[in-house]
Amino acid sequence: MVLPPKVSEADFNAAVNEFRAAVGPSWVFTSDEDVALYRDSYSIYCGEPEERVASAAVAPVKVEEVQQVVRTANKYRIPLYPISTGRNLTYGGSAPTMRGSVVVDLKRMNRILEVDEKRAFALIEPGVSYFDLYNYIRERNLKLMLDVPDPGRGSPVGNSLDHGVGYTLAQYRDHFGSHCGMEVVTPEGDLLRTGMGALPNSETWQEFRYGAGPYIDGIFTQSNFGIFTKMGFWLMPMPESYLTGTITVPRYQDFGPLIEEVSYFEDLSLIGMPQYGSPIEGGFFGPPSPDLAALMQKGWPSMDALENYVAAQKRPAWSVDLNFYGPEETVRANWQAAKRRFAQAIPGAAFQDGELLALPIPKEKEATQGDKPRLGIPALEVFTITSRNPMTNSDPADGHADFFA
Amino acid sequence: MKIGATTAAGALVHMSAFGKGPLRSGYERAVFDERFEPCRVFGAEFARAGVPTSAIRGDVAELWYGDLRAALSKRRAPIAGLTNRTALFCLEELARDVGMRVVLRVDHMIEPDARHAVAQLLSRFDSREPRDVSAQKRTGPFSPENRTALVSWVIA
Repeated sequence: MVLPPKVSEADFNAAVNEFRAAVGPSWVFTSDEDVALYRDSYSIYCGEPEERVASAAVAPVKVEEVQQVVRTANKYRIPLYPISTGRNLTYGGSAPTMRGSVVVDLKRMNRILEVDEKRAFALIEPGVSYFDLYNYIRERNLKLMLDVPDPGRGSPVGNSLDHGVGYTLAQYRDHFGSHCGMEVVTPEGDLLRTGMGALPNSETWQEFRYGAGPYIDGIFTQSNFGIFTKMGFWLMPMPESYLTGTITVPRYQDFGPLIEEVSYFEDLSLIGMPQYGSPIEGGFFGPPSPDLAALMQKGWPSMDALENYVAAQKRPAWSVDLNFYGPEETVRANWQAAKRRFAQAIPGAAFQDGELLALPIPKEKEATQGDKPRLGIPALEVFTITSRNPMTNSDPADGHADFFA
Repeated sequence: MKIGATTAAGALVHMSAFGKGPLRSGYERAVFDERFEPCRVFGAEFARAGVPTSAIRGDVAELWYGDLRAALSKRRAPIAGLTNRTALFCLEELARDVGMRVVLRVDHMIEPDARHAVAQLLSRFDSREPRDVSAQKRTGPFSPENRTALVSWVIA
């Protein structure tokens, strides 16, 4: 058994007993095989003596239980490591950052407390996943779109607190930026609500995030200053349509102007997350070109040498996919405006129209729909990248390649 | 088709090293990736044994959030599968919500010819066989040396 640092076995056992009294004996996990569920199989320490493993886990179901767990932890100086779902891969996982911590697993606090279609917000508990919230919205035919990360198995609460992002318009894909109102159990076990939630009987907790006085929400992100029990989010009204367009540019040095023009459209909130590519190498995950390897053999080549190489390939140097959300009239107009501006800024820029999709995507078409996260549909397909090989090579052709430390 | 396999510890073994035993029922579900022939054979064998089966095409999201999570929340019973490593990685992480863990994990090298080998593989799914708790969280979804495409597993 792993003990928290500087905590005696007697004190630890006493704390575990108090945890059991607070949440019920079946929701305190101390056996090796139960605690192992919270291990991080990605950790560079996995299986090593230095591995950061938990001493126990406790799964409260309501705010008062969280408060009692915190008070007990204070009494015995037990370090706590709260997780919402523990699946915001690359941000935060289920394994604690300090060996011997007790994981506070909030998976049972999974209620969707309110989704307001007209005012476009949701109030949820931390154990709610993107899938859960998405299914709730679809089952009720609410005209709202989620902004989801890759992948969608995590919690909006955990993802936003780790500064996660998604794919749609900038004001929604900054997940912390689109939150509005928090309820937090403080390290003393007190309950804190931010923004308008601090005022008794307020009905605008999820609409005006600042309230009165200093804005403190940021101190709870990428930190461990409290345990979240509720959080509000602004949601995007369901756009009528989604249009994609691809722009390619011929020269290596066109990349700078390409980014500048894309940023113009981004900063006007006219497009979602752009996706850049380099067709010169034949697309994602193609084998490296021997010619390019030879070009790089003596260090970074001159710009002339690079441009000559690009020209010889007879393919565009760069590409970018743009995504437009809104009524059909406006997304088509914005794509036309993009064509005009990019053509003016970058000689030789070429354009390929993408498909116009009516939103929401019908349920029966979701399974085969590509680009799910860009359409606000949570998925797990992104993990396919990690098992790609000659046997299982499959869609999608992109995904995360991450390094963990 | 011929299937070699790695144990949970990663050592390569041949399917012939697996002992023979009866395929037992008692599984809540058998999951197979319908894109691959060995998986289809695996699913068919479980279906023949009366075990409900679920076909996936890589992504387990629809399966888990569709009905499997709810079913396991009501009745925590073992599930078995032959999928790619990504699917197992996702299911292992998701299964934590219902307190279940990987207790069998065998990575397979895929080579031509397989029906016979899959039949041998099925002997590992005798529910009387002791399970290895250390099989959980042993690997991520990566395929070692890009050769081990499929993995058979039990989550209980």
